[in-house]
Amino acid sequence: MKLTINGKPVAVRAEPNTPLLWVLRDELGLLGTKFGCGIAACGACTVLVDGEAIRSCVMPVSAIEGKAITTIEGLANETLHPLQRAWLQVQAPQCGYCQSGMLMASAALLQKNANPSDQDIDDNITNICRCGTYPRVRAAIHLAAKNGGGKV
Amino acid sequence: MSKHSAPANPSRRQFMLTATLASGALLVGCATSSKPVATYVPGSDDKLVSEAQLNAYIRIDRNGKVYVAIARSEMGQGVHTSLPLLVAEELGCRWEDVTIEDAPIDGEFANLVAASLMLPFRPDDKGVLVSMGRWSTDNFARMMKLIMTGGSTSVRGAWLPMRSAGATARELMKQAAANRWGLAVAGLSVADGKVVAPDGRTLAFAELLDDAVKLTPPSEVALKQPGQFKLLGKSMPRKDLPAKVQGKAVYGIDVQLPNMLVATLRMNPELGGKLGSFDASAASKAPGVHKVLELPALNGATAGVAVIADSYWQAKTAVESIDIKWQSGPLANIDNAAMYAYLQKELNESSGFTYHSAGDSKRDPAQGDKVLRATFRAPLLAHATMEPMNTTALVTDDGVEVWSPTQMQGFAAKVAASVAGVSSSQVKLHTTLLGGGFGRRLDVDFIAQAVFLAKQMPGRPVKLIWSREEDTRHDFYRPAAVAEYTAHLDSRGQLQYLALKSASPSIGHQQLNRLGFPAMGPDKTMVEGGYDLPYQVPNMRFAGVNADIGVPVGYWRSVGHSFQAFFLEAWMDELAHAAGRDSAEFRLALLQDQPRYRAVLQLALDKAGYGQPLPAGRAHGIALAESFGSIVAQVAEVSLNADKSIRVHRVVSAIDCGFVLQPDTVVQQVEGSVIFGLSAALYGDIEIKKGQVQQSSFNDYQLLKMADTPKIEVHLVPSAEAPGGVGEPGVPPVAPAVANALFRLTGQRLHSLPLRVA
Repeated sequence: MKLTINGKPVAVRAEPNTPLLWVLRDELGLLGTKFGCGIAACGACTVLVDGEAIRSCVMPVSAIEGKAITTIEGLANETLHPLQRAWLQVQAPQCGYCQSGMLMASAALLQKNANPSDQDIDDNITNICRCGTYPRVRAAIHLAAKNGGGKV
Repeated sequence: MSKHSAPANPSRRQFMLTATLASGALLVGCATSSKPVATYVPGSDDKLVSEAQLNAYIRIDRNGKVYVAIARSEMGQGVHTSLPLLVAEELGCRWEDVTIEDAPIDGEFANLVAASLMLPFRPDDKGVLVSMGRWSTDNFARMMKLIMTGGSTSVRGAWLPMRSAGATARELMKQAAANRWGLAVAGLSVADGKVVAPDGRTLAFAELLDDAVKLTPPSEVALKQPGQFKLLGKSMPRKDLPAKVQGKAVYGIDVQLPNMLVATLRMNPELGGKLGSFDASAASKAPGVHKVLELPALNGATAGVAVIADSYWQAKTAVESIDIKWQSGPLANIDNAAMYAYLQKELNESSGFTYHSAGDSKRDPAQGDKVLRATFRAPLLAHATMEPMNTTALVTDDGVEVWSPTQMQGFAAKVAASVAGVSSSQVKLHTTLLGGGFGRRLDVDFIAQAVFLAKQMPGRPVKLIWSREEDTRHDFYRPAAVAEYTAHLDSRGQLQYLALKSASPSIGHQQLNRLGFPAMGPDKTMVEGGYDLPYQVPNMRFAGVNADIGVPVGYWRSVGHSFQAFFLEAWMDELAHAAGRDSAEFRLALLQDQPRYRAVLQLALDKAGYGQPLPAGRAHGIALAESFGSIVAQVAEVSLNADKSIRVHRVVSAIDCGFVLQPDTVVQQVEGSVIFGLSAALYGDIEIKKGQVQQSSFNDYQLLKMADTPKIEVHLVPSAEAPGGVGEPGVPPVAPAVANALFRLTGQRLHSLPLRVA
């Protein structure tokens, strides 16, 4: 099976029904995408498929053949993505485990909505963070939007 | 991760360091007594082989890089920044030159403050009994190599030892430079990793290593006063965050080793149940599967079946396909109703252990007194760390190597040795980053399991990953508790008597048993948050009944405070109302001799605008609690939705945690604690039926999300006192603050968690 991940073509051997999450982690060594629940309830495994945020723990790899996948490893170009810079500026992460998913969900939001309101953030960022970084994640999304994060 | 690791078990006198160090480095140690001591032995030719005491914290290389040994786990609370900051402040090096590395498993790194939390003293207790208690728990901790992260102790414990280590190294550098220049030490200063002479000449630390190691370190060093700090108190950016925003941070689940296999498991859904039989024939032939194994009940884990495969998904698919016949165990007939009935019965029938009393502790009400009584209840709660339990182990002829997101290094190493059947000196333990801890990773069940599995695959690393369902159903839960408060209010509305009797299982006893030790005696975590209250009441009694029906319980962020502060602070509010007095005024009047508590409460009240009008349908509730050396007051602004669900709009916190090393980290921790506390107050409830936990994942064990999160404000009380803890103290006041607001809204006194308005 052939996939395009972070702009690069890759071939994978996994069984077609293997969730994308485990192909990324166990076969391709892209460990930034995290396993939280396996039932699409927490969002730790969020990646972009053709620009849409999806929860990769329940997405069979066969379903995304030929589509463009972006993981946290592909969020930055030469420099950090405006969201990553905003994340550092407000010192958002604590344990950090859910933050890849938070960032990818936020990247999808900003691509669609360059200046999201608090309500937009509430509606779209439904990832779970046990450490309780929500106020800073919200602040970081607003900051990145101000810095043109939606245009990237 | 392992690149800079010191040897896991170096002998006390022969601390031979790794290649980097052998080619020329300086070790400085310091005794945890805060009197630094270090020894150095120069080697042959131009290389230096160092020998130092095992409590060595600092290594400096020839490029001026400073390696700081860290014996505490980074689980989001910022210790990978705050602890090396203590060293860098006193050493006078450049912050960007500081790197951290795993400290060895040695008693010198034992968590003495955490051990002292076993002692049933109140915050204001002083004197010889306290000193004797501390002496014995210090010794116990060192002997048992109690290296652990919990009890909000990291900065508290490191405050003197790690600064002393930095200061000792600084003084050696100054002495070495003084000798080189022929100048007096007194005139020299240190900045940016250099010793500076009065005339402006400088010598970098890296240039002074050879001289410094020949010197006798000072037996005592002067530490800076808070006014002299250059790094502490400034909110330095956390060192762990750049990797965390790029997906580059390595948690336990991310450990990758050559030839590694991945395992997962299913345990009997009935807690403590047994394994009957299972048919492994189909699973054994499934793609990628190497082995299907029976997993014994290790260190508190329930028995089960594991599959070792090439990848997680193969192991998971195979283990799900196995037809397993479970056998019932001792908890087969336990459900929530039976558990609460048992707690109530023990509460009624036992007098319990008295943790604190004052005046007439069994006072009869005086004429005209109002006698008030209420029974409170708290449920079992799961930790629900975002990173499920996991550990990687490699068993070879040489011993066992373990990579684990653990909060419990000392016992993790012991248990790994015991399961692998090797000596402690043959264990090498690497602590990864933790995707949340909250006390769950103070248990070592999943480490024992990983080593057990790796032993079946000698020479190949095995990474064991639990599914979320196993993680939720096989936690060591925050204990359920039933408690009764009694109070006498005299005719003037003065509180004359306050008595608590609380029944819950002892976490300490259970955990010691899980580690293979007998346990007995009182466990103050059952009543902490109650017996150690700050209020001055003439007559008091606080008793705890150890009532253990066998449901596995463990340490959970803020431990006993997480429910006792709810009981006490909801009760204080009720008493204020019964006395016809304002909630805040009633408390302040009982804190006449407690200026720190008064200041914290007053700050929270002022910042929240307590007493000023709120939008219609909203009310304020307040709570105050000390835990882990810090005082927190909170004011919650709450309303009720049409369906009677609870909406928290704003939580204002004030905290006095002594001197604040990293103000922004303290704010972060309190913000997170408010959210953690709200998840428990509004939703948290683990239910048991026939010994089985009914919740399984984030869909049925609800946690707060972005949309439910209130506006959170955190205000710090400036202080020059020694630091208190900050990881936990923000949790306890949350539930009572919300409950007290709900009373103002509804007139209902809610005595059970989670909060449900009728």
